[in-house]
Amino acid sequence: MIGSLWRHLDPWILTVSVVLTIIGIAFVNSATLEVESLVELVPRQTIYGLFGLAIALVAAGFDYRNLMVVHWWIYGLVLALFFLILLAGRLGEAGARRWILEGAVQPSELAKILIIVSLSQFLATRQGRITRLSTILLLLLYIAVPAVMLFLQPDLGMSVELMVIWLVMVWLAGMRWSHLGMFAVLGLAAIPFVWPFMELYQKQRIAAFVAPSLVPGQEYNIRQALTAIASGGLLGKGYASGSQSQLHFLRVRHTDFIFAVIAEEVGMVGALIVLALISILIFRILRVARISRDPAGTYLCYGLATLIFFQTVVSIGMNLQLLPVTGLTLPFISYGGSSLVSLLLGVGLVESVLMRSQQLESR
Amino acid sequence: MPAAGRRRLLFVLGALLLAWSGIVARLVNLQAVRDQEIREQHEIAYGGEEQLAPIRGPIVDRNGAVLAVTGYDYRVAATPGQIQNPREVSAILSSVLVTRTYSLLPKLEGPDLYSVVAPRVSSETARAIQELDLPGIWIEPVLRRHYPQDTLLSHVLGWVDLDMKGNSGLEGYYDRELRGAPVTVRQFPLLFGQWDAARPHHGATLVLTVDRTIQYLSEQVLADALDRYDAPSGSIIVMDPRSSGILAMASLPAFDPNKFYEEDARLLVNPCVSQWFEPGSVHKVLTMAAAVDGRVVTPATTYEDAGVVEVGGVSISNWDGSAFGTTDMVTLLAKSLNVGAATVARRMGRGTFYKYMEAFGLGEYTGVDLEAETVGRIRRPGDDLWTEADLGTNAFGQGLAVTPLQELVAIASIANGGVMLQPHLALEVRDGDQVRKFEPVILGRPISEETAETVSWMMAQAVARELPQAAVPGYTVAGKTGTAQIAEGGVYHPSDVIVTFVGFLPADEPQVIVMVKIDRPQIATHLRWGSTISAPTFAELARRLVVLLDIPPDNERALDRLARAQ
Repeated sequence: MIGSLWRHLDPWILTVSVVLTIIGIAFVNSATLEVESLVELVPRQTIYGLFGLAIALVAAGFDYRNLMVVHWWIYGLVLALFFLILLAGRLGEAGARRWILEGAVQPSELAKILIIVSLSQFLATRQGRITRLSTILLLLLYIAVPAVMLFLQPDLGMSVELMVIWLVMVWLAGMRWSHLGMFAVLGLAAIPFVWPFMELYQKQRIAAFVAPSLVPGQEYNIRQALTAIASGGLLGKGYASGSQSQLHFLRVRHTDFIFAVIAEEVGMVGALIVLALISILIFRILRVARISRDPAGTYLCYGLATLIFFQTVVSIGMNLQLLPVTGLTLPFISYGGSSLVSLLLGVGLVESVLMRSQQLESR
Repeated sequence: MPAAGRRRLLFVLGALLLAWSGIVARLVNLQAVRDQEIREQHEIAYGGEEQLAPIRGPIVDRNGAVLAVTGYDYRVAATPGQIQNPREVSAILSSVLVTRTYSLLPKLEGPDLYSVVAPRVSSETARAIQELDLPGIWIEPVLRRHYPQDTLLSHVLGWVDLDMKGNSGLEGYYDRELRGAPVTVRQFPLLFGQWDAARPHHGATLVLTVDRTIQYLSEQVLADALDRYDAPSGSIIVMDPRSSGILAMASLPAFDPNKFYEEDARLLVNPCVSQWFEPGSVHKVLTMAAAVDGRVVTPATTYEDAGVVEVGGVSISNWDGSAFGTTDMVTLLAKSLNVGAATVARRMGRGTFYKYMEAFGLGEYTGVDLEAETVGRIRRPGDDLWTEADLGTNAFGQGLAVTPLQELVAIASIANGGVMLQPHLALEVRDGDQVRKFEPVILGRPISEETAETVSWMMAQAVARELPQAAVPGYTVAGKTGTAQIAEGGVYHPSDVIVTFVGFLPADEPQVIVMVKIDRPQIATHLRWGSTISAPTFAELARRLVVLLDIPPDNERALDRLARAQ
């Protein structure tokens, strides 16, 4: 019985996730070479990776539908968590109150996965009424509460990410075109109201993207990243020998600018391989969404695929100066334990969806 | 799965494809199309090349005692683009650097990528700033020359400017060896590993012939003498005549090469090699050596001293104006008779006299390994201003100018069996595994070995008979005093003099030669003589030198010689 369950596991999803994690560790190593204060990062990231893999396997073996039953509790847990952070969180690196436990855990990363899970079930039970405006407004309220709390932390990037994931999930669940249009108009109209509430650094980052010469501090990072990428060329300078990243011109290179390190050291070919691996992962997850008989499982897959897609585009886009600077990580690759473990948990849940679905088929 | 979902999934896939093509297009644009341009822009903005500075080599004495070494100061620099709040940062920095806020602010503002906040601060200040951990503020080490012995040997060592370039003295002369070679590294190495392979060639270690203890002793003895005889300045040179290796070269007043920029520029000149003076009576030993070597006189040759002699229409008289009657050559030296010296020169004739002066290197550079050596002045027959009178005055050291070292080197040839060697301060240059040793260079053989022995004996006789002030118990000293008038604006100063003494010992086997020169002593006029000032100063120093240099006394050497003859 157990054996027949594991037979349905998608080896692609798990393998590609592990490969991306290993690539991540390798480039965190390259980015932190000879930086005394950062030597611990590689062993730590390795431990997070192994821990995350264990979590993924446990999650895959676990029937995800048990989570769907308690989706209100999960939702409540996330809100409580965000409330706690707002109340007593300690100041993080960029003045953001998003770290707890002496800064060791970044709960927003886990919260994103948990919200995808709870939203999947919430959406699934309202699937039949999705064309009604009242349902859409209820769904909007459902996501707005955590999104606003994230915005207040303040974490604009993640708040936007949550809204995008929500939009894609609700849209794929069958939202009317007219409602989508309405949201687009509302969203644009909201910008002048949101702007005054934004932190200075957030405004600066956007300003730096629109007009880099106005904000020199931001321009510095972006220019360094651009030079690193440009000097990589087709095949790169070789692993652990990018002068931009090795000579520490590139700041926060093991997190925000890890893609620039990759593009400099292994060139366009290496960067495209990373992009291809992430694409394979997204396509395999969307395949699970298609196979799943359970709407909640399908939405969960949509949610995770969107998360990986969005973070990849935003992180790489920022490195390439296509998008403004945010703190979003490159999935599986950037340094960060909470992000990695949460993603691997998500991967495990997707496997769980697949395996239960196939189990029903084969019965 | 709802049917609408399937169709809509295609939209999502389309969005993904669009995003991916955007990323790929940008990567191609950056890495294949514009890569060269971006690199060049970057090189303009950040400097495409960086020089790694070598560490200037140390200077040590013959026993390895460190006289000059390279350490670090620190430069406070800023990347203004990374400073969020320049006002706050400048306020914090100004309190640490003890400057005014408004003078720092312009260096912390604006889009520049690099500005120097403070060019040179101590390690304590640098550490204090580092501990503030201000973003956009950097601490960079800058090289600095340090002289742990402060003023000791300062004129010889010279100094190094803030760009680590050697100026004057040994620092200037051996700048190329001490400096080493920088290495230029490009920010965009073509091959992996170029960075690690590039190391600057650090400067060589310069080992001197100077002995720190003898140098210190010489400076002490000189300082005491200047104090005792109320003189503003003076010099002492101690040299080994067998190699012309300089053991000490002291000049006072000295300067602190650590703070050369605070010193009076006139102090930075080395009086032993860069200033000249009229040597006066010490020069008589060269006149005598010339006469003996030219077989014009022997020690027993006599002349009739009438107290005055006319050469070229100029009357020359003795120092006390008196006449000494029938006088031999040893007495001439012992009593330092100008009339005798002029008479001997006239007997030699101008041809012979100036041939020997040339052989002794007068009017030539000694070629000592110090920056800014100057050459003396001597007029020769045939020169526009030369007259017959010069032959008479030059014979006792007037009307010609020499550097102290030049005169010493010429006399040292008498102590070295007639062989004149080039004076030098470098014993060896140690460049990594390579050691370059300096061998004595022969400048010439102005006189025969026999003449050298004869004149040495005459000089020893002179000291023994007339100069107990120069005596060193247990040793035979050969020496000659000088009391030179100072020419200023074409006339001689009425009372100021430069008193000198050149002596070597043991007279028969010289191991050390010393020149003492005291300028313008201000004690009572009748006491301003080489015999009363420089001779006792020489003795005071030489008594201790024989101990430091472990020179056996005459009786011991006599016993050794007898033992060897057995």
